[in-house]
Amino acid sequence: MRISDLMISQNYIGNTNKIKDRISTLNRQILSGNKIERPSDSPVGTSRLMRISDQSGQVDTYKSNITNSLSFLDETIFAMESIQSEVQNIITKLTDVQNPINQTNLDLYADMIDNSLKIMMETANTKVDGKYIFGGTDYSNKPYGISSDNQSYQTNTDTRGRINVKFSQSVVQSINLPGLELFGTIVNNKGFFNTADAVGTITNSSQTIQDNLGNDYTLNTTYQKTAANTYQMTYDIVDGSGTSVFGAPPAAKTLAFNSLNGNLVSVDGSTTNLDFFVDVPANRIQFTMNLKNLSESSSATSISLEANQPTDIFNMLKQISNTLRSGTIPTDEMINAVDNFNSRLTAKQSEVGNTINQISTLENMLTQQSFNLQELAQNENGVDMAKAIVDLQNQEYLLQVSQKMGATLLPQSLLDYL
Amino acid sequence: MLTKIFDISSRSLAVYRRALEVTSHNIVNSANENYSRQRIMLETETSNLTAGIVWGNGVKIDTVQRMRDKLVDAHITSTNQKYSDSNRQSQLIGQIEDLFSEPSDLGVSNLMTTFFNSFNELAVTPNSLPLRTNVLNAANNLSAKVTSINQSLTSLKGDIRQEFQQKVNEVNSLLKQIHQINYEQFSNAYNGVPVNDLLDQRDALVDKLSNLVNINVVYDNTNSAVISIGGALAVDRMHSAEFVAEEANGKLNLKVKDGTYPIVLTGGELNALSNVYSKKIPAYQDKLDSVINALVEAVNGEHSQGFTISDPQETGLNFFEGYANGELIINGEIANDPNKIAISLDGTEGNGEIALRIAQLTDAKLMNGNTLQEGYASLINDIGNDGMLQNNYTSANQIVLDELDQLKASQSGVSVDEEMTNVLKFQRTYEASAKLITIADDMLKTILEMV
Repeated sequence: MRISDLMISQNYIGNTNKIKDRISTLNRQILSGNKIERPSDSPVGTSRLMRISDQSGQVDTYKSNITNSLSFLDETIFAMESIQSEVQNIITKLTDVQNPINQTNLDLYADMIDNSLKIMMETANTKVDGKYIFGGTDYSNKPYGISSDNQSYQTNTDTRGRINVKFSQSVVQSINLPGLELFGTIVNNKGFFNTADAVGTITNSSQTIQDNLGNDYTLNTTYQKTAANTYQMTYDIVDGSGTSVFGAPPAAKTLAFNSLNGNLVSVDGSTTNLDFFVDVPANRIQFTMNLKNLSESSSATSISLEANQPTDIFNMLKQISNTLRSGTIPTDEMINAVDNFNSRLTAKQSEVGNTINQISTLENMLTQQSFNLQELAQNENGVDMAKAIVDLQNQEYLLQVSQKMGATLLPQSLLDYL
Repeated sequence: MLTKIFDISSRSLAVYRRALEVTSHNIVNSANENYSRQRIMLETETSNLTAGIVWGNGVKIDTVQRMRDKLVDAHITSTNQKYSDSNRQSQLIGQIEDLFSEPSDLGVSNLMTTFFNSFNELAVTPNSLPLRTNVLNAANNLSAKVTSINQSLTSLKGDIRQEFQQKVNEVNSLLKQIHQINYEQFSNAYNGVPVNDLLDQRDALVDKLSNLVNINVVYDNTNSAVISIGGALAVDRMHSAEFVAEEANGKLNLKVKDGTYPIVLTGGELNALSNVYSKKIPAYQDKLDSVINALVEAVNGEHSQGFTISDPQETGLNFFEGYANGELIINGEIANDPNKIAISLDGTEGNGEIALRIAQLTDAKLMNGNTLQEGYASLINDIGNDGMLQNNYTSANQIVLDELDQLKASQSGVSVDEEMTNVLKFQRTYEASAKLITIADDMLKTILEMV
């Protein structure tokens, strides 16, 4: 082959260009620490990196959710502990007044119970990070307050709401203990309707409930089958003389059941609100009707009502203190109600404790996951520094050699020797 | 027959002076890349037969040959088209990649994650103003990035259209020059004027042209270059055609002036520009649009069910006003008042169910069985693959082109060593011929003295 001068210079320039190109790539990689700088460097690697960064962003969010929730849950536990210490104090006092020696100054005991009650009210209204810890999701007002005539306590807001937080791809967990479940009165509608019942069949049930002052009322419920798997529910509250507390009867509720498993599906079309709050301010009656435990089955119809407590714990304590001030010792029912509240408090405490445990475990998992993701990203995108630097030195050496060669070869021709 | 020595020698002097001229022409052009080495072809002058003896008549110049390999030229023309096509496309796609800034914290992917995560965090404390402002910031960042990508793509298209127009003008000007040379070389050759340097010029022009557009070159019997572009005659000895750029239905086309149908582009920078303008960018925009539209629809679908915590409370608000003309617009009411982010399902301010549902949209298969991130990743994957493909084509064609250039340089390049050797050779012969004249003169003198 004939070799012309142009070939030698083209060769030289072409090859040094290639070396410089490699040097600049290595240089860029070493400086940025990244192998993939643009999608065309590695399309697959880029999508993988984007997925990893998406996941690690989510994991970071879950972790910060956990940190924020844990402080809220710790506050909840702390509040419950201080309520419990007051309740135990009250239980001791209630035992003390059984002793005839102590019955001479019942007023003193009433004062002590009022004090504990005040602390409990205060604690029940604790606000953390802008949220009432026992206030459900309604923060428009303090959840618990006293009536305008100072005669009874009342629930000011809807305390049923739950704050649901996402802690991982698949775990959504409520982080609050709704005040209703701890302090409030819940009337459970329990039992089942017979699927074989004819349309139009009517079932009745009733339960004694108390107003905030301790007066007895009767709650009557009526369920009428209107179609297959569908019932109409009406209810009424009557006082001792049989007079309804409602001016007009409350609107009927439509209950729909699942035709296969018999579970309650919706109330008035809503699948999330399977309970409703009954509030009769004139008669100081406040309670929540829970319909979740109703179902349809093939057995004979059997429906009953059951209240977790006759009235909420604050009014119960108020009644006890009123009783003591009037010079009599509290009834066994009253003492039982306080005992019940105490055991419910313990149960709820362990519920909250479980939540704390669960999300602490999740936190460990997420931390591990976050490490794994970082490692994956490193594998995908990280530069092997040692290798890159050795490569760079090698290329630099090549460049020097070819420059030296160029310097000796290029300027030479026959001309030099003529 | 002494005069014959004078005759042969003086002819030889003229021939080797000319040979040295050609050699020096070669030497001074050794750095000219478009130059083709010229070689002087010597042959013996026709001998004559006198008295039964053949008498040599010395040397004469046959031709000054231009050393060029037509086959290599044809290969370079076709490889040039492929190389400049893929090279320009790889540059343009590189620019598009820069617009998306992936993979980095500034890309849409990460901004989308941050947007959904901000809702996730808001669900923990739904009435927190700082967290609501966070959501708004994340949404603003996302919208700014999406809007800026679309604007940049549009302005890139504007630039491409302008460049296309300029390159078409360049094609026209090159065609005119080639036509001119076609004509001149024909008339010069006809008049016996050397045309080698003209042909070098023409080859350089054809080279340039093949970088711009796909051409087909043949040479007719008058050695005129007959070039067609995508099947349409562009130039021959008699004519040169004019081409115009045209935009129709979002596509950039090349057309013969006053012609009806667009020319099929298959190579050169014009093809790169037209392809990126008419196919690549619209495809990328479509995909981005479908991701953002799905996002807007899904987020609004959830958000409009929620209640604000503003006073008075509102519901049925859309989070995004919409996505139109490449602009992602956040509802102005929300932008002014973060409390209007409607994430409460039941109207209480501590309820964040809607925020949770929006956060869960990251896992929802909103795009034909794909999540938003997957849909977007497939867009980036497309861009990356297109870029990688064109990069690879470019380096492959570069290798072929380098090889061909070497072949061309081997055939047509000047070797100073070779030329210097020729100089010596021709110089010596010239000296010898001159000496011959002196000798003949001496001989003549000798004879004359005899008289």
